[in-house]
Amino acid sequence: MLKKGERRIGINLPSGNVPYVKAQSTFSVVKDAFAPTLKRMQNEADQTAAANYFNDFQIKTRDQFENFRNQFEMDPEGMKEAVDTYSKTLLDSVPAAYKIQANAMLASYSQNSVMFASRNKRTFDDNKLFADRYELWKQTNSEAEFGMRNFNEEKIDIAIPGINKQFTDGLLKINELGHDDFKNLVNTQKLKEKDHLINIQNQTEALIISRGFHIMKTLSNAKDEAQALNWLHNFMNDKDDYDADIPEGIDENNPIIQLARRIYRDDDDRMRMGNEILKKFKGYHREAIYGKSKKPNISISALQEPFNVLDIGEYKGGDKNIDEVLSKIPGLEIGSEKYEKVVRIVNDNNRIQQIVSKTMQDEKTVYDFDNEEDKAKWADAILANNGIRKVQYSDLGSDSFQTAVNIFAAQDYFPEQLRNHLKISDANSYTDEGSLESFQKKALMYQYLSNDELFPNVDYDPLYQKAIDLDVLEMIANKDFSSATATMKSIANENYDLKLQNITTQFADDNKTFDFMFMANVKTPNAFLKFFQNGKDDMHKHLFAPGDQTTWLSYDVNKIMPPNAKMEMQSMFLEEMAKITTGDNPDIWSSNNANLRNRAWNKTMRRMKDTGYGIEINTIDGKPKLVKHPYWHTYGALDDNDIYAAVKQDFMTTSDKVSKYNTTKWEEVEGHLRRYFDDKNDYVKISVDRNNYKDENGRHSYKLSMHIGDEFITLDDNFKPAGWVNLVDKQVPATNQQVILHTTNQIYKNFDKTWGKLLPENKKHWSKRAIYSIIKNGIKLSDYRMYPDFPGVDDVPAEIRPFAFMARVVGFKGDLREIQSDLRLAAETANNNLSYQKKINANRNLSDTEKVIESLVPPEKTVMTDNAMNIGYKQWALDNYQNTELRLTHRTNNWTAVSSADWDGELDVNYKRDSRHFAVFANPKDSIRAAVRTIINHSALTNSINDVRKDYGSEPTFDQIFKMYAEDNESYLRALEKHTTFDRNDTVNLMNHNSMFKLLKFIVQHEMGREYYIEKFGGNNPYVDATISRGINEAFSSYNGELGKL
Amino acid sequence: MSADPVTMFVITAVSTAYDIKESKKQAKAEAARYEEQKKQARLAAADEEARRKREYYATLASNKASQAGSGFTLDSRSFLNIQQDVTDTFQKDIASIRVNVGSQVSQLGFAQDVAASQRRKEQFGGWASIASAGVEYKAKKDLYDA
Repeated sequence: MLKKGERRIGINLPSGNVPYVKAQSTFSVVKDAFAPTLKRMQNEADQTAAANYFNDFQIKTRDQFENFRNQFEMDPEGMKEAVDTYSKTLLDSVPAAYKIQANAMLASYSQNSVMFASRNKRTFDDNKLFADRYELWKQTNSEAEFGMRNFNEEKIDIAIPGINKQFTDGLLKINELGHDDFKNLVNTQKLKEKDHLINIQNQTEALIISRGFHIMKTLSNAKDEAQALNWLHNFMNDKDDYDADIPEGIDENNPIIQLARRIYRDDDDRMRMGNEILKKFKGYHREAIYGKSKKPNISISALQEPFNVLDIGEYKGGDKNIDEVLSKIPGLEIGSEKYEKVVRIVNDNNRIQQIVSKTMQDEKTVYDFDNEEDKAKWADAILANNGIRKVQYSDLGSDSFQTAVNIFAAQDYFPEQLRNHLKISDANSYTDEGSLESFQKKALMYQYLSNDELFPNVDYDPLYQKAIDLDVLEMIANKDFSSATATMKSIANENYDLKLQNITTQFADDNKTFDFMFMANVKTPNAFLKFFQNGKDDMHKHLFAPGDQTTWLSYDVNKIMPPNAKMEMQSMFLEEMAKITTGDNPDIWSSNNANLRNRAWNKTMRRMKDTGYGIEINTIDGKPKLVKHPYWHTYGALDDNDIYAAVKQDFMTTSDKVSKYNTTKWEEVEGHLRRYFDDKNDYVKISVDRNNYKDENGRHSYKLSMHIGDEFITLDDNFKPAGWVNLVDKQVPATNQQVILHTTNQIYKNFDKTWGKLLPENKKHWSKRAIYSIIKNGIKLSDYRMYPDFPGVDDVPAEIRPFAFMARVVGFKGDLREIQSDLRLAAETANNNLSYQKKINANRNLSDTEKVIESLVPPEKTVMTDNAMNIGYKQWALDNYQNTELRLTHRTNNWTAVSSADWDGELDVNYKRDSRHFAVFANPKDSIRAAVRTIINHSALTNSINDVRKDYGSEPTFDQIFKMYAEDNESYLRALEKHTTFDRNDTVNLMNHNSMFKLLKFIVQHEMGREYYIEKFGGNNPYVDATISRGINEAFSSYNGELGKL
Repeated sequence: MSADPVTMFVITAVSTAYDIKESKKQAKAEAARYEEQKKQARLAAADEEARRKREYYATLASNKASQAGSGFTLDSRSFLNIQQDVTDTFQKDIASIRVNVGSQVSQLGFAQDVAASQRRKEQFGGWASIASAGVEYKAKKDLYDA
């Protein structure tokens, strides 16, 4: 088969272009992916910019509009022109995008300003109108009264028609003015018609009252008071004996006449006016008889005088009720400045007297006073309690004076009163009988006070001892005044300098006696034992360098005290010796004078202790010296890092570096410092010298100097180490949580100022929150100095470590010591605030419960509310004591369910329950006080105080207490064992605040019913705790320190 | 990062500049691709021609063999006519192939020109948009600073 030619190939249409795809880079793809974010960010940026612009715009324009408002305050037209011109000019310069909004704002401002000006103008006009009108009305009334008063002294037949004439004239005047008001004010809607009518009625009433008063006054003057009162009686019964006639030519239907009639006819109105007339008449009458009453003038200082109501001596026991005190000061206005002062004084007196009780109860424990003022008040209170208002010789023999002085001695406090009393003039002035006798009395007082049991080491005037040694007192007693004067003169003529010189010469270089005395007095016996008890002789602080304070090394004290310092101490000893001896050259080392030497030694020690001597090792020449208040007494050992930071800061802030540091390069100064840090004996020395003034925290202030060979540089700022704890700051918030927040805020604020710039501007940025929470958590751990310190590793001081850590977090790369002042600020803030909490914890005078309560409710924060609270409680009991929906002990403030027995703070309501007189208290703390007293009165602690039957000793079991306390003691014991961890045979220490607190809290809960108590107060209510605690304290104090004494 | 005008301008400008660069790269790649396609079209046409030629010769030979087997004389008119038909068809096919390839190549050339022109537009547009963004963000910056 043959194949024919067949077409195999057709024409193809051109195929496949390469499709066009828009070229797009990866960056562009990413950009597109982020388009929504970018758009949002752009929007935000736009909005922020707009907000910033308008903020700025607003501030600028606001100031300008404010100017206009001042300038055109009452000139609406001027205002309009000014704001229009200003707005137009301003709008021209506003960017187009903001024009609409700016225009709207300006329009609104302009409109407001114009409205402001017109409103002001209108108000001003109206005010003027009303002021004029007020004046007019007032004048009308005054004129009428004046007219009537003129007739008071006239005879009745002239006076009464005269007064009536004035009255009707007054009425017509009211009519006239009322008409004007209606036309000018009511018609123009400036005054409501109702107000207008009220005004007319009031004016008419006032006129009727004036008429009545003047009629009474006239009657009283012309006849007597009874006549006047009779007239008023009739007047009130709608029978006016001297009715006023309508003046001629006046229509009877005149609206004002009608109104006056209507008011008079209305029983209520007439009664009211009658009473007003009587009131005015009484006022006149009293004034005429007694003169004007005066507001009583209360002098607080007079009230504080001995035996007056605010005298501290009247507050023995420290539980004086404030209401009682206030009731004794009549005329004291509640809430006035004086009132607050009185409340404060009462609180203070109570508090001080409670301290007195505490110190009397436990004489051996030295009380830790908050401040010197309290201590002085405490001393005054003790003297006042013993009836001593001013120390006198005559007190010397009295028991009370001796008691007081013994208490002072136990607390190692020599009161200012005694010191002042013992001040004498110099020996030359005793030339007459009177002054010699007075000297004798004081010398006897000195003799008594300076005995070893009381105050042997006080710096008394040496004249006393010398006079006693030379028998001056006997001479005075024997009336041999001329010999006494001669002896006193010889003492005065004694050459102290010569004597000191002689005594110093006597002191051999190698004085074995002195060394022996020194050793014997300073060496610590049983040093090893003491070391483990962490005990230390308190003189070590003054005699040894900071590095030698470890007690158990002091067995060879001579070698420990730096020779220089020892020399200075020796000369102080010699000075004391010279003061107490007589004659030009006393043989002080004779064996007979051992007692004298001991006394001089003790006085030297006392002087060192009282004036704060101590050894300063940072001195110009590097040799330790004895100085007053050395740096380490105030701030502890000197730290190299602190020196570095302080010098660096000073260097950086000094403008003229060359003249001060002789260089502009920090490296050179740093080099010197390194020499000092590496070897303290090298040519560079650092000295710290005390200034003569104290710093803002009441601490000694110091200057730091750097000595390089002969050159020396003193830093400008006072030197203070980083992170030192200030324990006197009381201006801290009330709760721990607040302390933490407050501290965090303060630190964060400072942190933001310096390091904040490294963080994004956004206020809510996560990094800022993170830093904030680091700070907060750091503080929350209560001791932020938890960062370990590795000995020998040169790191930043422990106090600032957490903050240094934060600086690192935000990117600080340099030497941390260079930013120490920033870090120090943070540490100081934390320190200052946390110290309050610390102080509370460290205070040995507070029981555990008190510590918790004190830290929540510091006393100084509650002084003023205390009184308010008392009033609240009292009112509560008075309102509710019969409200049986509340539990008995709750509604009566008698939380411990004691029977009435005229307890302190008991309200006199005579409330009987189940045949028993149930006490109702002004404050629940009084109930606690009563219960504690009941419990203590039945114990052996009060053997010498009262005759109450004694059921147990000072540490009874719960069983014993409840047997005495409650009729149904079984229910008590069952509840005790069910709800607490105590057993009926557990004992309670009655003198221990903590034990008593637990007992009382249980009693309160039990008496109120546990469930009811929890419903009302919750399981742990700090307020209830505070109340119980106060009750216990007041009960303890009420025994005035006599508990358990024989 | 904040979305201030300067930053935003930088982002836009950088992104557009990269787009331009990408567009240039794309244009180059496109041109190469079109050239390749033209080459491929020509090669395919040559292949097709060769295949058609083989077929043609095979047909001619097969016809000759059939003719010899069936007794046709070699100068038989009808046989020669058939052979001529085969040749004619073959020639037409070859012409078609050549027309096809010519048309495809010119189409590709045209498309290539269009694409290149589009890319040029794209690049110019890019530069123009950078300039316009500059103006826009400058205005915004002024507004922000106002």
